[in-house]
Amino acid sequence: MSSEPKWQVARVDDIERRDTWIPVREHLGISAFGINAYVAGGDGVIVSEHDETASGQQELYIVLQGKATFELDGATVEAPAGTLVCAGPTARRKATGDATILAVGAAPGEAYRALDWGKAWPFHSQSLTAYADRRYGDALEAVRAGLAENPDHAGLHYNYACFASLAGETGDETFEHLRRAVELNPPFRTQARADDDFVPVRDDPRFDEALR
Amino acid sequence: MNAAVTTFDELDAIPVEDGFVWRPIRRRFGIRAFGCNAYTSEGVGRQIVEDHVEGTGHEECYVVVRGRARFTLDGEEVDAPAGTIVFIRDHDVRRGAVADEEGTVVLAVGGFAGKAFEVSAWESFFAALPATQEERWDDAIAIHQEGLREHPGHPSVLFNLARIEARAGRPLDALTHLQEAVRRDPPLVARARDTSDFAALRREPGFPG
Repeated sequence: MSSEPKWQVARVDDIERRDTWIPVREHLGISAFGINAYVAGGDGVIVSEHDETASGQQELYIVLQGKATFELDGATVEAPAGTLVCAGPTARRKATGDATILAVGAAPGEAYRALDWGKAWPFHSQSLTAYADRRYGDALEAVRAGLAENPDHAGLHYNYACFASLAGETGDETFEHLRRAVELNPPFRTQARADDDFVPVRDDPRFDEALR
Repeated sequence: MNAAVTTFDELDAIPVEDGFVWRPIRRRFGIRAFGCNAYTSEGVGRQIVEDHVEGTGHEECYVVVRGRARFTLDGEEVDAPAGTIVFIRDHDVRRGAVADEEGTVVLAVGGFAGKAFEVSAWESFFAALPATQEERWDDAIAIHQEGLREHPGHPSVLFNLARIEARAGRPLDALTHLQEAVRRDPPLVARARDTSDFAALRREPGFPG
C-alpha cells in the first residue's frame, strides 16, 4: 500500500519559491502532468521566451492574479487575471508583467515523466543564470558541482551535455552524460534530437550513439 | 498562430446538475495531453464540483481560481479560498465542493500517472447536454458519435446515445446501441430498466432484461 497521502492541499502563495518559479508539481508530488506557477523576476519576465518543440508539450497558462502581457508567435495579447492561454509545442511564447501564472503541460500520446530538482535546484538555478548570459563554461561548472552531490540526476546530466556542447567541449565525457540522461529519463531522447543546444554536435556519430 | 486565448468568463457554460456548471477548456482548445475544465456554480452554497469518485482513474488537481469553495474529501471538509490547490492522488477519494462565494471558479486538471492521457468518455454526455435539452437530436447524436469514434464500443457512450435516439423517435437505432451497451457492460440492464427515456422502447422485442 502506498505511503503517500491520498490527497493534499496547498496554497500557491505558501509553496517555497525557487526564484520566479513556484514548483507546484514537485511540492505536491503530482506525476500525471506538469503544473507550476510563475511570478515576475526583477526584469518583469514571468515566462521566458521559449517554445516546446523539443518536448512536444501542449501548455496551458492561467493568469491567476495580476496582469500579464503575452507575446505569442509575435502577437501581443493583454492577459488580466482569468485569462487562459493555450500554446502548442511550436508556438513561441513569453509573458511579462506583474502576475502569477499557473502553467500546465504534458505531451499528447505520452506518459508524463516528472523530473524533480529537489537538492539539485541551487546548482540548476546557478547554471540557468549563466546559460541565459551565454556563459556556457560557468553553466557547465555549476552543473558539474551539482552532479558531484546528485550523481544520478537526469536533468543535470542532460544539461551537462547541453552546456558542454555549447561551450565547445566535445570530448567523450559530454556524450556519456547525454547517454546517462537518456538512460535515466527516456523522454530526453526525443528532446535532444530537437534541442538547438546540440546543433554543434548533432552530426557527430557519438550523438546518435548516445541516444540509442 | 499555434496558440489560442480566452477567459474563464468567455468559456461555454453548460449547467449539468445540482447547480454545478461545466466550462469546457480541453474541448475549447483541442488539448490532448491532459484533461482540463473549469467549473462554476449557480449560486452560493450550490455544488461547484460534483460529488464523485474519479472513475477514470485520474490523478486530479483542483485549483480555486476565483472566489472560495468548500471541498469535502472522504468526508473531511476543506476551506479553499482563491489560490488553493487540492491535489487528489487516489482516484477512490470521494470528492465534491460547494461554492462559498459568488463568482467562484474552480479549474480541474486530470491525467493518468504513468500512462498517456485519453479523452474521458463522459465528455460527450456533458457536451451534448445543451443539444439534448433543446431537443436538437441530430446535434446530440453527432456529439455522441464523435465520442464513439474516440472510444469505440464504450458502453456508457453507447447507452447515452441510445437514450437520445429513443427520445428522438429512432427506436431501431436506440435498441441496437442499447443492446451493444448491455452486451459490453451487463449491469447496464438494470439502468435500462429504470431509465424513463426508454419507456416507449420497453415493449419492443429485444429490449434487454
